Amino acid sequence: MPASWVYAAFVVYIIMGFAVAYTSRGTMTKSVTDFFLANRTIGSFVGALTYSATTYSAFMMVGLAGLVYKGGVGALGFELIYLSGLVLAAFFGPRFWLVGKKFNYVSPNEMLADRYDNKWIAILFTIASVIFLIPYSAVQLMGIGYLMEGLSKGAIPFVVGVGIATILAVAWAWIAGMRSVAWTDSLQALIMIVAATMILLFVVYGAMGGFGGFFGTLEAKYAKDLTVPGPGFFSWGTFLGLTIPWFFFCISNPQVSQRLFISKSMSSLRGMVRGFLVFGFIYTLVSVLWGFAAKVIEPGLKNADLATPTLLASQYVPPVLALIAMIGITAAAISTLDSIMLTLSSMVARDLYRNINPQASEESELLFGKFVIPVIAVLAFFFALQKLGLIAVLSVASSLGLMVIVPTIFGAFFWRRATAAGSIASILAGSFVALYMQFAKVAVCGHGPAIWTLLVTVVVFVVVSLVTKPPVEKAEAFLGYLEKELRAKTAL
Amino acid sequence: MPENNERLPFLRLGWAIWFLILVLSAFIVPYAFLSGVPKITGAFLYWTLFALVAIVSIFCVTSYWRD
Repeated sequence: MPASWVYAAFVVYIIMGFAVAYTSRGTMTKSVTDFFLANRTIGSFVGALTYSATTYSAFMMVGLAGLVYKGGVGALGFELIYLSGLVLAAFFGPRFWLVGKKFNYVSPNEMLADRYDNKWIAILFTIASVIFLIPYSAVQLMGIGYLMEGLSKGAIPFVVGVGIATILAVAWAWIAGMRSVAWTDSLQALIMIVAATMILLFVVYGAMGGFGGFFGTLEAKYAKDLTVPGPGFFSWGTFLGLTIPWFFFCISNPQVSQRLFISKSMSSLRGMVRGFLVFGFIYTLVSVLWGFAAKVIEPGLKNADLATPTLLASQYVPPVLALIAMIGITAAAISTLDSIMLTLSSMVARDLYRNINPQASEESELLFGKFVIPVIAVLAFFFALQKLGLIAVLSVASSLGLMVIVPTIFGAFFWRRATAAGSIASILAGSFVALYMQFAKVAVCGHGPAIWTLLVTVVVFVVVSLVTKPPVEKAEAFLGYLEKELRAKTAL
Repeated sequence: MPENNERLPFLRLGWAIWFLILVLSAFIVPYAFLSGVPKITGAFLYWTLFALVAIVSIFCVTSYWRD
């Protein structure tokens, strides 16, 4: 594909993105809540799309398709169990939203620190989030760099693709904070799902005579790929190891859980959760079928990560559609990136800067937060350029590492006896186990770090909480208010 | 919608148990009972139906919410 086509497609995408970002400013004020949470005014439709675009990165159309190519149907199970994890949002969503509004929380960490009456929880988990989410962002940038370089056959160098993506993510987070991120996310979510579905339909009807023929070929030639453990990748241990951390994604990843604060009302929150479920179900099936389609079209690939590029370069995908897919994958990466940058900057401003400097004014906190966005972007940019293996390891470990906050979140809402000491000890112990087992590639009783991290975190949290003194007054104010309001809102 | 809010704790527990069983089935059924079914109507269909049931269940839980 000529580089001029790729550039032209990008120009159209960028113009549309900026138009949406500027339009989203509306009646924006200069408050921290407005910048980081769109003043808690997001409705169902935009809420569902920003939640979807933030959750689903470039991993789906590239990584998940590759995982299907390599391991078969187990990848579908892994991703749909993740989707079913939204049941946590059905229970925790109203709780986050209610206390967020009542106590004016901006970040999930701020909420936990207040509930446990200990600022170190916020400081610690903000540092952990920065350590795990910047490499995760760098991997998104690397994906865009490789994609543009590959599709233009080297005419657009890696560094240019990474640079363009970094600038767009910063700009769309900067223009109006959560408002511009949410609205550009919505545009990008629509591009993602339309592009992915169109390609699938073109390939299935163009190359395989429809879904009947497609599934028939799979059963005839790749029967083993339709079972688990299948070709071998999805052994029981690997499946558990991948699935468990992702099941908790919607409460453990701050860029996603922070979205539980932004809804206008309980109805909007409901619309956000439901809309995401529908989006996620379709998008997952489409991405998985991409992987199977690549297997049928080009079965002999040595590197499964090339499944998607191979599919897009095949004769069944018209160049214009391949171009739309490239924009779709880029949109998936950038919409995740700018959300992470905005959330990390809110946490650095609120949970680090504000805790170190309690007298800081709202203006200075906002200014600091805005300053942090490009700093995070530059760090992710340089990490991406290094193409280090370490970055990939940290990125893979991100959902595992962030899982250590899960017992603290459960305790905050469901256990009055939970203590700050229990939380801090469990975060430290869990992070140690996760990082040690991930880097040393250790398995205990045949299981990798996921199960052991969860187990250690839960046990340490419970035991240390039982032997330390709980913040009785705070727990009463927090949970007493919640019990009353949950009853009024008939939320479970 | 629960007419009597006093029923909320029971509903909460009931739904939590239901989701626990549902999610556990998504691990157990494909590995224990469908590993010998190399068809699209095996694990692929099971996980798809599992996700649909989970989605409908979450729609039910969120339908209780009031503004």
